[in-house]
This record gives sequence, C-alpha cells and structure tokens, in this order.
Amino acid sequence: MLTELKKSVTMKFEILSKMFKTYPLSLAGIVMILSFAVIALLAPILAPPTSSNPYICPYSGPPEQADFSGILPPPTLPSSEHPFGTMHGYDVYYGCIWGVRTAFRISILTTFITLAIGLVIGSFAGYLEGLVDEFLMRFTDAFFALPGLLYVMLIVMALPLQWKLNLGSLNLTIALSGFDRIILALAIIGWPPYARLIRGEIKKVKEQDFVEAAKAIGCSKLRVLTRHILPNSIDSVLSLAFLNIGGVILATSTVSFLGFGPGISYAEWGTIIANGRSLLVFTTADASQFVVLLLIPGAFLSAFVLGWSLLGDALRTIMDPVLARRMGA
Amino acid sequence: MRLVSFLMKRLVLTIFTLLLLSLMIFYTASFLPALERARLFISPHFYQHHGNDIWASAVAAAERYGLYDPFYVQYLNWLKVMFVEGGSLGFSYFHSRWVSDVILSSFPATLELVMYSAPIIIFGGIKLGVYSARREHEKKGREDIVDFIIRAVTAFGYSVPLFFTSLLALSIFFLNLHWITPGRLGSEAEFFVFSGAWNSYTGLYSIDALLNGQFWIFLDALKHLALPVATLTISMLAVVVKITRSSMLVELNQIYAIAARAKGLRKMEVISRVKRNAMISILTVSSILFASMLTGIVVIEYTFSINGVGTLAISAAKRYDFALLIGLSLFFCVIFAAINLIVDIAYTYIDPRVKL
Repeated sequence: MLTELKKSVTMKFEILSKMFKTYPLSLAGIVMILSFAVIALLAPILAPPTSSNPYICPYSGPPEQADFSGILPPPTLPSSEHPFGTMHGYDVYYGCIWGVRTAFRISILTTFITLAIGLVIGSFAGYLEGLVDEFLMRFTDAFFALPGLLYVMLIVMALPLQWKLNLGSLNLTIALSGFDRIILALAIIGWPPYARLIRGEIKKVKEQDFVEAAKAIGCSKLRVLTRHILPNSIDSVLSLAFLNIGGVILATSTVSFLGFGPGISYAEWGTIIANGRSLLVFTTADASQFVVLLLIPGAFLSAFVLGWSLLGDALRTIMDPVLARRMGA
Repeated sequence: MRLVSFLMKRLVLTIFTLLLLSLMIFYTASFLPALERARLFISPHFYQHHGNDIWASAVAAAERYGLYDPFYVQYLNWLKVMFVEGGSLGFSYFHSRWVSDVILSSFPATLELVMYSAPIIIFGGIKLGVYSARREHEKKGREDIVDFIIRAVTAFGYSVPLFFTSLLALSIFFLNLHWITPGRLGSEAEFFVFSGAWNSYTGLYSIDALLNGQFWIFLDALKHLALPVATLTISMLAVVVKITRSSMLVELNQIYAIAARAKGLRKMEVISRVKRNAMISILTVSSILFASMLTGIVVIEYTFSINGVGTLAISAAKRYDFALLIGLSLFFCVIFAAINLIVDIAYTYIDPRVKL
C-alpha cells in the first residue's frame, strides 16, 4: 500500500518535472499563483488596514467629500505616500494588495459552490438514468441558452440585501453583501458544464467491473456512488474547475466593472478599474496622464487570471493520462 | 422526412427550454416585493387611467394582476399578459415605450458590431488554431517558435480582461492620440443622420450610408467601429484559437490519424480530415462561446458608449427598469435557443454518425 503510494507519487513527480521541461509556462503559472498567495498572506503587513473592515480602502481626500455627495475628489498620481496613486480619494496600492485576498476568496468560494451544484446534479443524472437523467439533462441544456451576464444583473438587482426566512419558530436573517449576490449568481449560471462532464464520466465508470463487484457485496446505492464511482470519475471535473478559476475572477471583475459591485471603496480590482473608467470618461481635466493608475490593478488582475489558466493547463496534463503518456512519462 | 421529424423534436425541446428559462427568470424577479414587480404589468393606458401616478397604478396593478397569488398563478398570468394580451414584453417606464420597440431600436448597433467581428473570430480563429496545432504536432523535440508566439498571444487575450484592454485602447486612441471618439458616429455625421435627408433602411449605419449614397458617413461609421471590433475580436479570437488548437491536437494523436499518415497520406490531407472531427468539439462548446460573446458585447458597448443592447441592459439594471431587463433576458434566451438549434443541425452535417 505504502510502496504503491510512493510509486504513484514519484510517478506524478516525474511527469511534473518532465512537464516543466517541455512546457516552461506551467512553472510560470505555479510561481505566479504562489506569489499571489504570499501577497494575500502578508496583506496586513504590506498594507496595514485602518478601519474595522479591512476590505475598505483608506480614504485620504477632503473629509467633506467622503459622503458620496456627488463630487468626488480628483485623482492623484503616484507619490511616496501613495505608491500607486489614489482614485476618488481611495488608495490604489491598498486596493491592489487586499484585492488579492478578495480575488482568492471569491474565486475559490464560487468555484466550490458551482462544483457542488454541478456534481450533485450531474452524478444523479448519470447514476440514476431513465426519466431522472432525461429531465435533469434537459434542465442542464436549457441553462446553455441562458444569457449569463443579463441573468447575473437580474439576480443582483432582484435579491434583497437582507433575506428574512421564517421557518416556523426560527427566524433567520441572511445578510447578502455586494459580492455574495454576485457569487450566488455566478454559481447559478456556472454549474451546467460540470454537470454535463461528470454525467458522461459516471456513465463510463459505472459499466466497469469494480462497480459491479461493489454492488454484489451489498453496498447501498449511495455508497457505490460516493465511494466507488465518484472518486474514479472526478479527476477531469476537478481539472476543469481549476481551469475555470481564472474565468470566475474575470466574470466577477467584469460584473463589478459594469457597476454592480459593492461600491467604489471596496478593495477589488474590477472596482478599481471601474473607478478609473469614470475618471477617464467623465473628468474635464486632461485625463490622459491618469492612465498610469489603471495599469497596475489591470496587471494584477491579468496576472492572476493568467496564473490560474497556466496552472489549470498543467493540472489537466497531469490528470489526463492520455496526454501524459504522449509526453513520455 | 427524417430531417422534418428531427426538426420537430428539436423545436419542441427549444420551446420547453424557453418555458423553463422564462420560469426561472420570473422566479428570480419574484424575490422583489409585489409593488416593485407591479411595474412589469403597467402599460401606458393603465398608467393614464390611474392619474399618471406610478405608485397608485402599482397598487392597482398588484391587485388586478394578482401579484399576491401563489407563484404558479402569477407566472401563468404573466405569460398571458406578456405574450397574448400585450404581445410586446411589457412597458418600459424609463423609456416610456414598449419593451420590444426599445430592444429593436437598439439592436442594429449590436448587430453591426457582431457583423464585422464574428466572421474574423470564427474563420480566423479556426484557421489560426489549426495552424498552431500543426506546428506543435510537427515539432521535433524543442518548442516551436511560431506556435509559442501564437500560444503566448492567445494566453494574453485569454487572461487580460476585455474591459481592461478596451479601456486601455480607448484611453490611448481617444485621450492621447485623439484619433477616434466614442459612440457610433462623429458629431458631423450624427447631425446628418438625424436630419431629414437620411433614410433609415436597416439601422446599421455602415450599410444605410451606402444605401443613401453617403460614402463619407460609411467611412465615419467604419472608423468608429474599428476599435471596438478590433478589441472584441482579439479577445474572442483567443478563445476560439485555444479550443481549436487543443481539440486538433487530441484528434491528431488519435490512432486513425496516425494510421492515415503511416499509410502515406500527405500531412495536409491528414490535417483536413482531422479538422472535420475537431470541428465537433468546437461545436460542442459553441454555446459557451456565444455566452462570452454576449459578455464581450456588453463590455465593449459600455466602454465605447455604443447605444446597443448591452448598454440598454446595463442602464435598465441600474434604473430598476425590470420590464426592460426581463424583456432583454427573454430576447437573448430566444436568440441563444435559436443559435443552439442551428448548431444542432450543423452537427448532423459535420458528423454523419449523429442520428437524425
């Protein structure tokens, strides 16, 4: 058992080292994500928070303009006090650093919820077959005709900020802050590819002998599904999830760029770039010099997405045995 | 005959899909309080009847259309009002026009954007992806430099968000170089378009200009389209190239492709045979492609201030114009369902194994 594990670990390691030689880009992806993780861990040291909510950027403009009265303070170029400058009076450097944490939080949470929904629906459809399968798959297919972005806007507009549930004697109030609704919306529109993929994989796996054996020794249906079929069919879904993490961040930042985020002071890259847009488009002063302020949050965002997509490609190569064999491991 | 029965089956499925999606959209909207939702039902006639007071008519509409009823009653009611009685997806209170009119009047701007970018995205993307896969497949040991460049550019287009590139393009070409202005036309051309001398045939300025014989407006429209189309194309091209490349590589390593090459078929002939099979996996992900195309269009229209369907949706969501936003969602559901239907039919042409 232990030697087998050791063997498989060394084999994976060999594939990994071979892959780094053939595809040096995947190493770059891992380095990028690791350095983002370091920034996220060190965020309180790199940019000490000033208010009780660390995700709100510190405000340094004139105090009478902080109450959203309509006139926002002008942007300032990078200085020693504000290394990346300020927009609307909010420090861009602070936003970029804490934006890493926001990005990790949102991407991982959204992917997790999406994956969970997709796994449940897909595995039921694949395992139960018949009418259930037919209905669930038609349901899944229907989602592919849903205009995602418009539906996200609809959810963000329609869901209340405080959700009161009356369950008999139990009164629950679920508070949904700006990003919670976006995460929920993205999960609702994002699960169908996972469901489709896991269904196909399960259909393949469940015809195999070991599943038959598990049924023969009297495992319950749920046990067969969760202990025998799922572990053998989940690899491709997981690699798809890794590949999609970057896409999730793109989607969230797009939604907040379009103005449906949690507000201009939040430490999130899409929000900062949206602030930059309003600077460029609506200021009467010569705005061309403030393009500099946009570049840094944009670079953070792009590097994060690029890192995840390179890492996802690498993981898919490891998990996909056909591809791995082609590479001679 | 089999094609007819296949089409009928697909059509029934499409209608089922649309009903399901409308149910979902209506369910999402039902989280709003009844008085807010009442705006979905208010028509100008109804509005005038209640003294042009939005709140009085909302209260009346909530009672008249049963907005406190059980959910399914409300849904059926809504379907009836939207498609049978009104037939025009409700009334947009912000634009004070029927929703279908508002959508149709801003659709040409979006169509113009798609018309110029889609051919480049689809045909150019597939061409480039096949070429890149060929270089990767034929390389001997070391990284092929052309393939590496294509992959690096693709990774760039894939990971740099469209809103960021379009914003950068706007600030470089508009703020710094003063080459273009945002919008669909320059002020001079716009003045001419809104004067009496202009006949609107299609709503697409570049085509209408030619039909009107105004070549300078045609050039002006193209000049304003160039940057939005270019940014949209680059970002979408990356997606198509990536998918084509990976599915081509998978197919090129299949046994049938290796056997064909071993039996002495020329490289290019193998590629052209394999391409057909790779098309199948491209078709499979085409619905995801169209979804990201929609996102791209919304972003491009927002940054370049083009008054198309995308900006309409954003402004509707920001002004709480539910009727318009829901109408737009339904409109795109119909478009996507139609596209998926076409893709399904295309499957049967590309892959003879797919049974009708």
